[in-house]
Amino acid sequence: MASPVPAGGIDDQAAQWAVEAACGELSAEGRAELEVWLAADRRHRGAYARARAVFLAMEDAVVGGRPTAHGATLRLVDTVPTTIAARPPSIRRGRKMLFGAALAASLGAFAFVGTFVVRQTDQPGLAGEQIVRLSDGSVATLQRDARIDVVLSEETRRVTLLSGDATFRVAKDQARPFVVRSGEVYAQATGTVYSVARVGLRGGAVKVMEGSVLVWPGDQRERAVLLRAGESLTLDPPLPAPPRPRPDKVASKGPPRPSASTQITLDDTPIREAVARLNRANSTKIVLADPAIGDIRIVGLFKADDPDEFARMAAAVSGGEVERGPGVIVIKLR
Amino acid sequence: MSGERDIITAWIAREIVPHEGAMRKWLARRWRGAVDAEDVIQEAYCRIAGLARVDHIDNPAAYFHRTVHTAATDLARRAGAKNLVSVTQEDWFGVIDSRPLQDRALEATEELRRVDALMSNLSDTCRRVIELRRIEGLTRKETSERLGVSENDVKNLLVRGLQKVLNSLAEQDAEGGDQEHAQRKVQANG
Repeated sequence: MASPVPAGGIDDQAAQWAVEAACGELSAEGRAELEVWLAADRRHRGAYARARAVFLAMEDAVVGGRPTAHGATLRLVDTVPTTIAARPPSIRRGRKMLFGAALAASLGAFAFVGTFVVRQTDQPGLAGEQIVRLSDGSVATLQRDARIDVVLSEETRRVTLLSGDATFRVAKDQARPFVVRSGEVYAQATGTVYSVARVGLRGGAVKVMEGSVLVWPGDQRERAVLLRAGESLTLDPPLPAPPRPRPDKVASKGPPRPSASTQITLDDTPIREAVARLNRANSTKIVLADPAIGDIRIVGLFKADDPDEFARMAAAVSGGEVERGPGVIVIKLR
Repeated sequence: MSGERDIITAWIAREIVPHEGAMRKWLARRWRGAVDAEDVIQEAYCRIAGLARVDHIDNPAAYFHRTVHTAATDLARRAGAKNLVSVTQEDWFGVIDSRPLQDRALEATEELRRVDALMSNLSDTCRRVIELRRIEGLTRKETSERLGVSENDVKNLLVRGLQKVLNSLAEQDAEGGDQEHAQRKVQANG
């Protein structure tokens, strides 16, 4: 039983989500809403972690030393967005009817505006392409082997690209953002045309044909990059640090750094735009001392959180040099 | 995957939550208004929840303190705060680690007691719901049937109980007399 996005302060919302998750009764729709909420703000993620822990502490305090029905670690159900693979793929060539029925059964009726129907229009365009019309009027063109999972609610339109790549012609609806998820990469638009392709296990490549699209990795929506028509971006977020055997115990070796070595692919992009992107994401700002540098186009793969490296490359490309100041990196012509 | 996360959540519940009050006080004292304490605490939890494992952390309280400190520094820097309160390394270790061990143990016990006190303010119905769920292993539906209320009521009881505890924890940053204040608030709510 899902609820609409909870109202109230962050802590109050987090409390509602934590209880929903702990009771293990989040529907696919609820889970999608939770993902949107978590992705919107790091503070949401923190508040959610805190609420879950406090709920557990609260339960433990009540239960005390008494035996529990489920052993010590109880039934906190993981609802953080890593469950795609476990969910049955909803759209598959040749299984459209099943899809409609299964999805309708798994979602609360309140979530839909009208009936949710997926129709397939066969063989327009290239061989191997499949065109799927969503009930909101959007059209998804799936390339060979592409699979998507669609959840349309009154507040959001969410598509998960399970495999392959797909192009989306998004019906305009400002009130309902259209978010495509590829691994841990999210691309949001209200009305536009863009394609998304899976990259590795967690990444995605987004290419915008019309309009503009916001792209961000994992929970870092505040670091979203705005892509405009003709631009493309490949993000391949790193895995969270894998558990390593640690024979020697280290006491508090500093806090975890957000693992943010997300990569940005620049494909014939003016340095000015690339700088704007990096500056949005980093506290160290790059300054172009000479506007002519900004017009030079650059190609390559860069770490989103390493302005130094980018500045060196940009300087090399433009024949300039780099000068460092406190919190700034200046690129100027020699 | 889910198991790993549960372990971390349980660890946070056991080792981190009890120290939240002390950290909030430290934030209020050291950082005055330079950063939003709420933002810092949430950021710190976000970072800790992102850990892949926690069994290498010998001193969770110190770890939490340091995470809060760097979160505060990062947020202040991002906000471009001019009135940065700089905390030197010695200052930091002076605050956290070099106090006599017995003092720290005493404080930890006190913190645990305070959290327990917050929990004791939960309503009887809320406790009953938790018992049915945790001890008898009932689902929300079964719990609602047993208590003769709607499933939504069951959920809301838990949500309200949790919200009260979260709020009380957050009230702990008030200077002095915070515990009484927090409890008053709980009673007022409940």
